[in-house]
Amino acid sequence: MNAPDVPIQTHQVAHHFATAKQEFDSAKFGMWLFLVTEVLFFGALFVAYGFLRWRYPEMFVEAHRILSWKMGAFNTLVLIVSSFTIVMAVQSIQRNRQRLAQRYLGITAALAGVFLVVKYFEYMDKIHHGFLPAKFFSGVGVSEHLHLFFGIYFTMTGLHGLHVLIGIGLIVWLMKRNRQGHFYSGFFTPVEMVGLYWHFVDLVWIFLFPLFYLVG
Amino acid sequence: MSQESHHDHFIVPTSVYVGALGALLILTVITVAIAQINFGSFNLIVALLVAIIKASVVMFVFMGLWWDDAFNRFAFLSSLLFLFLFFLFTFADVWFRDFRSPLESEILPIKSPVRPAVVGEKSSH
Repeated sequence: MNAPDVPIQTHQVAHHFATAKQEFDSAKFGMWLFLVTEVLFFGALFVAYGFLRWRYPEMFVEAHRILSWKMGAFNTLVLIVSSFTIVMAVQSIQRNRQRLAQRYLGITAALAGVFLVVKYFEYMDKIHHGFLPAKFFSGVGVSEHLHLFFGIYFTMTGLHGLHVLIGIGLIVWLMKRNRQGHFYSGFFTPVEMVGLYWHFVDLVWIFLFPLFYLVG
Repeated sequence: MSQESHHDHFIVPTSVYVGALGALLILTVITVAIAQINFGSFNLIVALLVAIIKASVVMFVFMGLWWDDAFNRFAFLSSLLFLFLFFLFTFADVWFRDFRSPLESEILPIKSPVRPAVVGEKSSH
């Protein structure tokens, strides 16, 4: 095992846990339960998507052509690479390579930023053309239900984007603590948990991308 | 019971993560390529199958479910069962409902905000 490459502040196991392993396992189980609630949270929206798609199939064919699949595909690649970099950050901490972990965390936050910038341009384009939800819709279309597509599109990608934004905040917090030497091979619980959260954000996008951008 | 065991987290080799990254990138290219060809409703099935494979790679490799406690695996994967039930009961209702009821326009007198495209005008930009 490498010696840590920054001065370490040894983690004290909280008094209500018997061992560090119990503390880690409890935190991880709690994180998985949180992700279960997230699956059902997004799951409800996927059910709504399924209903609208089944009800208005021609409308979805028209609507998906309005979205830029190139931007969607680019963002898919960005999120996949960011999932890889954050898992490498966790692994670097496990190997006491704090400086390397810091670089991986920085790249992950930057990729998340790129994702949001691309999303911003996509949103501005839709807003400019009046492709908005419900009564705010002022665009031109063949199908009279086109506004329903943009309702579910903005709700799902908007909530996902909010998760990305929160993820950036969490990663920046990790970088601050890592610089202070809080994480090492014996304690990396927050890094592991934020990693799981970030992979979940990637997981949601893996389904959003083909369902909105590719399949009409 | 060993008190030191918390230092024995299994460290997944970098090559495994690189392999998963490569697989995900290739699957993304495949899903985009297939979508360019029109197979009708078959496209949706293929897109979902590829997405499920990609999601499995993320869950089992990146999220480490493969090496995790069986209890955590059980907890997380159980959410997929409940998601399936959610879909099942919703569509069991929706599929057998008659939406062409003549009364629908009276029940839902909502005017569509979509401005119809004039012939020759493109619906998208």
